[in-house]
Amino acid sequence: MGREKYVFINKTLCTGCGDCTLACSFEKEGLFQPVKSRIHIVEGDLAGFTPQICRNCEDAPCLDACPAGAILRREGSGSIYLDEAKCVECNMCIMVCPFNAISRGDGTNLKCDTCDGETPCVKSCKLGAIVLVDPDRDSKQKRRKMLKMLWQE
Amino acid sequence: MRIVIIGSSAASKSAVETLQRSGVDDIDLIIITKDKTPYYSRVILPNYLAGYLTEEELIFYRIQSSKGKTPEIIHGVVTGVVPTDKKVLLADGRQIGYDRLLICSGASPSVMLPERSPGETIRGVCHFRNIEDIYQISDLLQDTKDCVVAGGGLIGLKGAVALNHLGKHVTVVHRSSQLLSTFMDRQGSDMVYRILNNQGIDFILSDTIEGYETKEERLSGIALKSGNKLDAQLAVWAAGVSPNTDFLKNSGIEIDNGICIDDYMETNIEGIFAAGDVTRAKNLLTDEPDTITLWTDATLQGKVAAWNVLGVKKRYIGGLTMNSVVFDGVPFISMGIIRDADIINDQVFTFFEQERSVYRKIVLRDDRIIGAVFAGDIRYAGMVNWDLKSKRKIKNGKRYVSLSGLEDVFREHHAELMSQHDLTDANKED
Repeated sequence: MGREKYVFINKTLCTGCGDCTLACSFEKEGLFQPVKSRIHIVEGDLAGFTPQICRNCEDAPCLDACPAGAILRREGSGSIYLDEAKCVECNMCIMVCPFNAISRGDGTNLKCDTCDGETPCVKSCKLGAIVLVDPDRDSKQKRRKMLKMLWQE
Repeated sequence: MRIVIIGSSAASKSAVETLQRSGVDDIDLIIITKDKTPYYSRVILPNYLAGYLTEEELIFYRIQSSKGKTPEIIHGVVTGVVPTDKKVLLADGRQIGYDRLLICSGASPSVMLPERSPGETIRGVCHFRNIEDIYQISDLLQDTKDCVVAGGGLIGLKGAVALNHLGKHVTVVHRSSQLLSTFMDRQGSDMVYRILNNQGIDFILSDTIEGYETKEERLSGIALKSGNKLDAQLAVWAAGVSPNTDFLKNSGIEIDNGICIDDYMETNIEGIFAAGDVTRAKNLLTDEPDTITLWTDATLQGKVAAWNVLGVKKRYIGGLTMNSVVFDGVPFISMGIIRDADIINDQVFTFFEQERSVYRKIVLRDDRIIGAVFAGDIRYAGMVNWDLKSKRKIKNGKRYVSLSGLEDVFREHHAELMSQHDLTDANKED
C-alpha cells in the first residue's frame, strides 16, 4: 500500500477496445456488462476514442450537489468516492458532472472509486493508456507546466 | 478569528468544509442550530417517510475536527443579532460573540396552517419541510385512508409518491393547470402526470383548498375553491417556502424577501454574511435578485461565503434553477429557463420518443443555452449544465437533443480540454 492514487486515461493511446469496461464491471458487479462499468468509452470517427471516467475534481460539483451525503472526499489523496449504501439515486450528481463520469445503476449510481489502488482496469489495458496518477505529482506537474508557460511569455 | 454560523444544513455544511480546507489555522468555529440532529437532509425526507431510509441515514454530514480543532455546536433558537456588539442572542438568554457571522437560517413553509383555536392547529393538517413534520405525518397515518397533498411541485409530488407507497389514497391539489409548473415544461409535466396517475395518485388541477371539515377535532374533509369536497384525514401542505428572517427584524440587516447580499455574499453590515435559502441573491441568467431555494445553490453560496468570510474575495456567479427527480424509474432533470411561458423569441430544439419515454429540450438565446430538459435518458445533462453556466456560444443547438450529437459535443469539449491542459504526461517521472 502506497499513497492513494487515482485513475487517469490517456486519450491519445486509447484504441477503444473496451477491455477496461469489462474488467471494471466484473470487479464491481461480478458481471461482464460494460453498462455497469465505471468507465465508458465514446466512440469517435476522426477524433478517436474518448474515455469517460471520474477526474476527481478539486472543487467537485457532485460532492456539493449530493443531498444524501453519499459523495465523499478521501482524506489524503483527496479523491472523490460514492458511498453506494447511501446513494438515493436522485441523480443530482449526474446533473452537475461535466465529464459524464457518473451513470445510473440499479439501486445506486455508479462512479469510479479507484478500487483502493488495486485497479483491474489498469492491468487490463494492453497499451498502457490507463495509469494510476499520484495526486501530488500530478499537481506538481501542472504547476511546472504553468510556470513554463509564464516563463515563455 | 471567531466565526459563528447560524443554521445546519446545505449552505452551512459547505461553508464549514470550505473553512476547514482553506488552510487558515486560527479559526474558532461555532455553529448554532435549532435542529435536534444537525445536518439532516430535508431533500430526502420523502424517502424517510416511505421507509426507504432510517433516521440515521438522513444525516448527510458529520462535523469533523480539523487541525486539532473541533467546531462547537450550540443547540438553541436565535432571537436576534446585535451588530454593534457583535453578538448573537439566543432564546434561552445566552449571548454568543462573533468576529464574523454567517447566516444560513434557511426557509420555512410560507403557508400558515389553519387554526382550530388560537395557537392550536387542526389535527391532520401538516407541513412537509422538517423532520418534525414527518414524525407528525407518521403519527397520523395509522388512522388515515385518504390524503390530500396541497401543491404539485417537486416536494409535493415526492410526498405524494411516498404516501401512495404506504398504501394511502392520495389526491394532489395544484393551483396551476400544470404539475411541476416551475420545474418542467408542459411536455415534461404531462409525462410525470401519466406516470403518477398510473400509480394510482389522483390530481385536481387549477384548484386550491378553501376550507377544512373536522370530526372529533380531527380533519375529515377538504373543501375546494371550485366547490368540490374531498374526504381526507390528512392534508399535507407543500407549497413554497419563505426565508427565515424574522429574528433579524431589529438588526439593521437589509431584508427584502430574503437577506439582501452583494456578489460577495456580504450583507449591508460589514462582517455579516449570508448563504442558502435565506438569501436573495443574483440569478445567473437574468442577473436580477432572485430567491432560489435549491440544494445546489445553497452549497455554492456557502462555499463562496466562506471564502469571503476569510477575506478572500470570491465572486458569486449567480444561482441557476435546476433540479433532478425520478418517478417510477424515469429520471427527470431540468435547468434554467424552460417554461413555455418564458420562452418568447428563443430557439427551441426538442426530441421526443414515446416508447422509451425519452425527452430532451434545449432552449437557446443569442446562441447560448439558457435552458434544458432531460427525461428518460439523462446522460450528458451535466455537460449541458456546464455549457449553460459558462455561457459558451453554441454552434448547432440541434446536436444537443440527440444522443449521438451529445457524444460529438462531448468529444469536442474533451479534445479542447486536453489541448489546453495537456495532461497526457501527468504521470511521467520527474
